[in-house]
Amino acid sequence: MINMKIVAALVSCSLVTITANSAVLPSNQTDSEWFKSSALKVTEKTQQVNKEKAKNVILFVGDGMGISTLTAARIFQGQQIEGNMGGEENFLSFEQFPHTALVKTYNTNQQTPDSAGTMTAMVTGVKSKAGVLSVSDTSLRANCLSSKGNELTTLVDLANAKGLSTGVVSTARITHATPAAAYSNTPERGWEADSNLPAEAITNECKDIAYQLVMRDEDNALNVALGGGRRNFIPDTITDGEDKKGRRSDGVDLTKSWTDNLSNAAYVWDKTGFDAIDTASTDHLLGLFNSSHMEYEADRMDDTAGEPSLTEMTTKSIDILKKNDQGYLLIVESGRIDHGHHAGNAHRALMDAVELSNAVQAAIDSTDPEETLIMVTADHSHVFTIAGYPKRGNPILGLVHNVDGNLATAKDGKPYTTLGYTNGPGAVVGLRDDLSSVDTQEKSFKQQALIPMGSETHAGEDISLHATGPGSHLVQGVIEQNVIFHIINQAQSLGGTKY
Amino acid sequence: MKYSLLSTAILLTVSQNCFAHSEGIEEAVSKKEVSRFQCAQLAPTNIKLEYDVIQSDRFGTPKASYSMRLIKNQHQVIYQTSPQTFEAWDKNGEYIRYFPEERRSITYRPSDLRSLNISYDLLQQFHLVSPKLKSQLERGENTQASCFQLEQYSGQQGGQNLKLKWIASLALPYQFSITHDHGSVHYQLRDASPMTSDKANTITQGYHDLDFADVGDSESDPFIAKMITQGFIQHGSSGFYDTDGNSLSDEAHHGHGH
Repeated sequence: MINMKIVAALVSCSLVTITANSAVLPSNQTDSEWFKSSALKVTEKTQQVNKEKAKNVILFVGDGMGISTLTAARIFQGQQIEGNMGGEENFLSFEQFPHTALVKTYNTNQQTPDSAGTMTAMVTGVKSKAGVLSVSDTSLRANCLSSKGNELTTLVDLANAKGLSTGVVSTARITHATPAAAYSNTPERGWEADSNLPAEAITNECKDIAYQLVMRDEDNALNVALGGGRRNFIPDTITDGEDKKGRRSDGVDLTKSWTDNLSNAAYVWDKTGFDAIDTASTDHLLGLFNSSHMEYEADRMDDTAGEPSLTEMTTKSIDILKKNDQGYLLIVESGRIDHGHHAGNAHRALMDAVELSNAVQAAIDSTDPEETLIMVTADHSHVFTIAGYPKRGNPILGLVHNVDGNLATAKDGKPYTTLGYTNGPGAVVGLRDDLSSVDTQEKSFKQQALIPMGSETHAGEDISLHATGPGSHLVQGVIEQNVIFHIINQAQSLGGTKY
Repeated sequence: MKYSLLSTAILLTVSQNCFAHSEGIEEAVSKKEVSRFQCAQLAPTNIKLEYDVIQSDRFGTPKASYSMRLIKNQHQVIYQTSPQTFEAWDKNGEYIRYFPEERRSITYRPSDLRSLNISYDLLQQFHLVSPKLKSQLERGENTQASCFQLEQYSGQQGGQNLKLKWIASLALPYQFSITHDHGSVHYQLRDASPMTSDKANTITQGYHDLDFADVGDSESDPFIAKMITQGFIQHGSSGFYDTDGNSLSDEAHHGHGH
């Protein structure tokens, strides 16, 4: 009884304090839209209800989508919205999610990581070294024998064992490091086709990544695998529909194995075939839309045979996976943000980041928020910067204009762009280009950089994790990347461990 | 925009006014070696050609010369100008750079080239002189050289004087001269013979190929690492480099120089 009185008194005091504080604020403050909208946001947060168990989980990974990429992409998208207020006020779809964490990305052997080690951490709960996929770091890279016995069980394995449906989608080759870590165990990310295997790997019976994707038992098979990388699935004696040769030297056509081995299975390789898929009657869908990586979103319409967008692949995947009453696990990678950055080409990187945001929105629209945990993260960052003091609304890909509207110039008297790279192909030895008459917003403009390197590099700072849905409240603080596995394992009760 | 003949090692930003000088070079080149043409068997594809290339300064003094081998089949055209590296363009617009000593190659898809701000004219790669450019030149009298009937063209383009003798039956130049303020470059067909598609294909077989898009994720590969870290020593580098990591001419690939 006494305790209740104390609580009541505290509540009462607290209300008085809030009211009193509120009363002293001037109306030009409390009437401000900034004030009102942010107050509303906090009110929403106080009413948040956390649910523990997720029937479905969708994990989105933007390859190379560091925080500066998120900021630039949100402004890039915002500036294309009619009636925008400069673009900075925009949010990418997943930036509205209620829970966020910062994620440490280092590999066990590298301060600045690669995609293989980082995705291994996310899908197995164990950090490993660069270059290896879902094997522990006691393995030697590119040594098959050393990987034996060091294979790690992935989220896909656990979900399949629980009877859930599973899918992996990427705009990179589906055998590329990030998607491949979800379904394969190999000490070398480059072993995408059997022709990439060295003699030691063949002797010790390591299998290539494409083989591992297709030749899983039906009980542990992926229900959906969509992306690029067709060449790794077809023999080198076959030329595909886009006039490209396969890279398998064992003569096995894995696209045929997929349809032969799995029930209600289909294989598609172009947009027309993809659009024609009846999701009601298809339980196993393999889509390989490019010999190598799928096109950048900026170039997708130029593809020879046509490719679906990341958004279209995501919604088609959900339509197939949601038929399972027990639930599903879907992993979606936007693989080419990374490549745009490596080329020092911000425009393409940002277009792919915006398309990832679109795909996430499509997933939100296609699922029940009460039963689906959606998480959005990156594997690592890039040395991509937003610099200078551009005025509000300055084109994010443009030259910096100061608040007074004048073109900002550097010490060399030349203008500079807001976006740049610390290293990469845009670097100059000697005098910097004068960009005064250059259209820096053009799709193929290569941002200037500091350190001259043939390919821009990854960066080592933290990336973000955004989450909504059941279990999303576990996403908080600064976490190691391998915690992502455990959040999914916990939320979806995959049985990987007990908490 | 200055007209630049083809790729990397080939393009020259040479100079000067003097058609007279370049005509002197033509004569010099023509006398250099006896030409060999297997005329009866030649077709626009499945063909191997050798060009002599001479670069001169603005006074018309030859400064460098080399041979350029061009091999065409229905799917691709291969350029060989040095033992260290050669390159190919396929009809889909992919550019592949080969490094014979390491048996390695790097493939640049059209979107890779665009992401590096590199534009190109695919028809120019397959015919040395783009049809668009040729259509802008003034047609002269037809002439004959060896077994070839030649169409003659001349004109100016971007401050350069161009002079072309064109083998219409092969859709390739017999002679081509570019002269501008800093010098000149002159191409002379020296040898032409048929080559089967199978034989042409053997030139590019057995290479460990990597997509340019994957270069950034291949830093542990010593060959790639060398190119990443040493690759860009020139102003505004393009992403094209040789086995020593030296950047190749940017202008050769830039349709618009920025």
